[in-house]
Amino acid sequence: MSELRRKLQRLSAPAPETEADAQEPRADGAIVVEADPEHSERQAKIAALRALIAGVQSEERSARMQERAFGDSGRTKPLARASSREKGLPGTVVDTPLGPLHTVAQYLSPSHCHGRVRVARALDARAASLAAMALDADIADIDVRRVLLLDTETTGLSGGTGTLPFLIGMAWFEDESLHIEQLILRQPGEEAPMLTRLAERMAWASCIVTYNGKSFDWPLIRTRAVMNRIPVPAPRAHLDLLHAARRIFGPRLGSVRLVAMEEAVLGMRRDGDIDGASIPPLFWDFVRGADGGVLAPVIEHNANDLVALAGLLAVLEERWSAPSPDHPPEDRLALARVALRGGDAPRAGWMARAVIDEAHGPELSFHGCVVGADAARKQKDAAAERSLLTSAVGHVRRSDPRAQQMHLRLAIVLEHRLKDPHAALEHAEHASERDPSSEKRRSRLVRKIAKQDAKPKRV
Amino acid sequence: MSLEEDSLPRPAAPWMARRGLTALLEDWRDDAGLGRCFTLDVTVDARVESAGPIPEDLSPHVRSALAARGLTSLYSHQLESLAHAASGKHFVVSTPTASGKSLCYNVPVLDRLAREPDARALYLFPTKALSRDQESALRSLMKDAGLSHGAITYDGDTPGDARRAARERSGILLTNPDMLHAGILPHHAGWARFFSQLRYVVVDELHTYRGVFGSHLSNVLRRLVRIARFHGSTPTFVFASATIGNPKEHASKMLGEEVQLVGESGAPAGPRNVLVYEPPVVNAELGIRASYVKSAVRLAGDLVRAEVPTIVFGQSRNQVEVMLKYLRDSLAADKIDPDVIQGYRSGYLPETRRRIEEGLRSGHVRCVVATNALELGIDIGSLQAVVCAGYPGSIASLWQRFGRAGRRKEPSLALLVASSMPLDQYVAQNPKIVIGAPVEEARIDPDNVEILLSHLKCASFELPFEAGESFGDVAPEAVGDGLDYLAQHKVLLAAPGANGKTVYHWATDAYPASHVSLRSIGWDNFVVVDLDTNKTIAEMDWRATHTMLHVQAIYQHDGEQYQVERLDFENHKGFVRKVEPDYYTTAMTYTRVSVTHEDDGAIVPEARALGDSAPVRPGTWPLAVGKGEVSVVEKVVGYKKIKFHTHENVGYGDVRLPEMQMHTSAAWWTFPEDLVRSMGVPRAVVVDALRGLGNAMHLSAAVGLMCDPRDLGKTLGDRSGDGELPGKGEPMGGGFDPTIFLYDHVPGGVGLAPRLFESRELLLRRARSMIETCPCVEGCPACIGAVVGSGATRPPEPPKLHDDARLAPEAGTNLKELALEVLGAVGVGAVQ
Repeated sequence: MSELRRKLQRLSAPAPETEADAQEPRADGAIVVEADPEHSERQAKIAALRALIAGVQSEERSARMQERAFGDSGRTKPLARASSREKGLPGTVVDTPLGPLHTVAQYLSPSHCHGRVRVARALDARAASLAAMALDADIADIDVRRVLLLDTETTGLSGGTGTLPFLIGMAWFEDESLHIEQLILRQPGEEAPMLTRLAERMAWASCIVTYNGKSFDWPLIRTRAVMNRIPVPAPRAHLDLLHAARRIFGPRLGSVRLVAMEEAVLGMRRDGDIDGASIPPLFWDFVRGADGGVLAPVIEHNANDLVALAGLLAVLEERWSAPSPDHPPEDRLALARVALRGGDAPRAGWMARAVIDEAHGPELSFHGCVVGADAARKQKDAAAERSLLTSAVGHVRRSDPRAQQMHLRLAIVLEHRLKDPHAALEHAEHASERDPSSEKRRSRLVRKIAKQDAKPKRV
Repeated sequence: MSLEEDSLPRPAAPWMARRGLTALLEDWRDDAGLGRCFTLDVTVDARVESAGPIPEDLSPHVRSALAARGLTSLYSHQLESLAHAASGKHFVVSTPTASGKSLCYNVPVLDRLAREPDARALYLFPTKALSRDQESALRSLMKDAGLSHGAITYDGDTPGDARRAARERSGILLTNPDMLHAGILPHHAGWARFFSQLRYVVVDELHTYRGVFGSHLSNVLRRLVRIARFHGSTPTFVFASATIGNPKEHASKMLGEEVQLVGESGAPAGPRNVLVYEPPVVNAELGIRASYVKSAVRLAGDLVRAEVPTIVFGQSRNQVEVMLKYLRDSLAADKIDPDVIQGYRSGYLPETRRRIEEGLRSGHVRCVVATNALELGIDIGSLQAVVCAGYPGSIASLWQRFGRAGRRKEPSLALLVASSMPLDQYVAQNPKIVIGAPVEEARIDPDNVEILLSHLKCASFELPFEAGESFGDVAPEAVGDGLDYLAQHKVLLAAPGANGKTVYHWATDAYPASHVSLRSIGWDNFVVVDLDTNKTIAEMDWRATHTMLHVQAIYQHDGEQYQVERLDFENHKGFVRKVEPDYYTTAMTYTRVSVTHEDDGAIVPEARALGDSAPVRPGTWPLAVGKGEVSVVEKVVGYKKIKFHTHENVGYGDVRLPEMQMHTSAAWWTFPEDLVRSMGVPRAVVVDALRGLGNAMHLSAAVGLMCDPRDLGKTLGDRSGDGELPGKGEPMGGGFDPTIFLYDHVPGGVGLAPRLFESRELLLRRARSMIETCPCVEGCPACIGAVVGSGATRPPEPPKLHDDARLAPEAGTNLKELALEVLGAVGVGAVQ
């Protein structure tokens, strides 16, 4: 008995490392992705059929690869795990040269809807619109038919080398069907096959699409590749929808969580969705021998997240290319601001004007005028900027500090662009008195007026 | 207090003051009042320079950077360091302060960077401020060397973009152990490039890593080595330490590998006058001495008047402010510009420090008053005198302060002004230890079970363990036991690995490093909140909370006093309010120690060596000394109010807190029951004397082990620990062998107690000497502890004659004498 063991025996048990209570495992292990009951039966059949085909294909493929691997190195196949451990876990196991890989495959029919959005419409998205909304030029020449939607479920939320993505969910379009493939880690130490499969899919993809993937999922995957000594796969482009969604829907919704987006933007409400904090303990339960069915809610949750990503792509394209009075005016103004940031001032201008013309009340009209005026300034259309700023002043109370800001901007436009010191002085009088430069501005304007008035006399 | 003022010898009138250190020292010695207060006045010989030419094969880049600093040769210890580095050996540089230690690591590291552009180095400093100071020094050196590798400090204050640069580009990364532990190692995959090219790890200020903190760092280094190996590198470790007794052993234990010693300084030093000043007694009965702060101010004032560039060290920020004010006031009378005296505290911005340093060089500043040697900048060139107001707790840290002056070849002054605190008094009475005693040794125990387990968790998170793997110098078998323990508790998951070996995977969703604080054991710290400002002023570990943060306790922080108004035990918060009491509190703790495993035992006095026919002196009792593992149960039951300066006990209060239990290591001395009976006084009195002896042993042990007295617990109990421990003055039953326990006051122990067992006899002799030489009459906090019970509340009596005391023991036995008698009875005789 080592010295340490003797001391360990005297030690009390360490404090529990997790506080979250494990959720009761769901009785049924089925994955429920369907939200539109009309198509469910037909679709289930198609999905099952396609999954079956996919399973056969991947086994054939892996068998071929295995032959190659054996031929090269003569390496023996790692021990397959006792099948009792996967009891109840949906999906199938395939052998790969790096070990067994557990996958869950599903196909959604072309007519599948997530909430009120038909998922396949994501294929209508144009790279240019996505690039404009993401403010990322790298997206501009991606092939939208080859985007890979990506979302992971992990053993912890704090990151670091000890946090594992135990479920890597991927989805892509095959024709008009969305093919969902979820890779599930059956136990720590078996990550190599799943990371390799991910790398293969990424090599095919023109772009990965995630939600908060730039700060969470992707660094984690990169870490796992380093830890498993697998070359780090490099995405050709990475569209993180969190940032676009925050800019476009954030001002109206406040929350930018994916489920919030889903509800407000896609009109999708999940029933019995698992809470994110209770996911890690379920994985450890499973690894320590619980029935694989405990992971079913996690698989469903992940699949829903992937489908929501496709839905978001479809909605974003529509919002960009076909703005309509049916879309919330706040969203359209937010979108106009994004256009402005991306350098598309004309678009920002007409989108803002549409909101102003629809007359949604003074607050929205005020914001519309400000966005419109910003766009006009970018376009160097001083007259339009003046008229929009003047309207903006009309939409707020005199005492509102924003009125003073508008007066100040008017004073600047009138002085420097429109060369009208008389009018400029009038607005400068209304601008904030606290502004230290206002006094200077006023005296300068007075001088200019004097000079202007003097000129005609001399002529 | 006029009494106190008058007792201080008056400074010489300004027109009489002479210039220069040598003249001033003569004046001090000639002054009858002052002269007798110096308990030590010796000159330590000058050290001659030993240097050699810069090696031919040094990179021209580094050579030109040295040339830019006017360096065409290097000191012998710097050359030695280069040679070790060239042969890839780990080494530790332990030379006095200001001997050019940083070049010992900077030159080899920059030389490597110049030859290998992708190479990386990691520098560890105990504080953020030190990293920042080194960063600027290093950058200027690298600039002169024409190296574009960059040096970046990576800590909590580093902005995001600089963090990225640090990870990906910086040649040298400067950080602290806490950041390495919680911010870098758990994310090492993101640092793959850094770790794969890691060539050097520099650990500066090694002497500060001792006790719990040092034991933690040792484990962090085990993790670092493991991660570096994963990424394919095996860095060379360079340690730099101020003077400690065991640099080679300490560094080797820290790393778990053989480390070479560079211990001889080649830097020159002028003769150093080492003086210890003990303020005169102003009230013999109460043992009150003149204020050491005022004494230090007066002596420092003389130095400033004599135009000797001086640094004054205080014990706290508050005290620095007080001394600064006093000094300026006293010099104002002589029309000396107050700005020639500057404070120098932690928290000063680098520009402020540089301005002060510049002022010292140019002569505009003649005196700085500082708190902590560690916080000083690197280069204060021209100081000639150090005044230490109060003993900093260990000889090593005293010498770190002393080292701040006397870099040149001219004479310098190192002066300690002793306070009335027990340790100070011990040093003042035994001043030879300042120059004669071997310097304290730094101790760590990296295998402390709780510390080791914490880091096994962190290491598992960073990289799964494979069965049969070792962890630094922890053998695979022990590592396996630890991992199995963690797997049993579901922190890890043991799964079959690819090659058939078991692999231990991290298996919870927590992030372990965030639960492990390097600065103490246990992660359930309490915070101390000031009710007036609603700010957190300190953090305290759970154990210390019981004695220092109970309701009504006077909590001392940064020289200020706060009273604890509420202790929220559940939420780990103590609420305090600032007060200005004339007393402080000490907790009364019932401690029960029981031995759970005896590792070794011995009898004192030792049997004489074979062939030595001299018998053990007749009439002496055998004293059984042991060491091993103990269970310590502590319960704080109340507190005492002790008046400042006089140490009078002015009141009591109750405390209701749950008891604490820990397993730790201890050494113990058991006095036979028959000896107790033979002393001719009631046994309760003998027990009190033994308790006093325990106090003296505790103090001597703290001095000898270079540890904070609080790191070492003491109690008097029964060897078995079965009986309830009787309170002081209470009667107790028979069948009880009083035993003095000294134990590591840290769960699991950090290796202090085994050292005490090794020096079991020496410790008794030191305790005897401490008691004998203490000038008090019946015992005081500086020797056998405050005389309590009847003695504390009764009015001071005129000193009794020794014989009277013996004739009437029950009326108030002289415990001091009794303690010495007991020592005599076990063969620890009077000091020759």
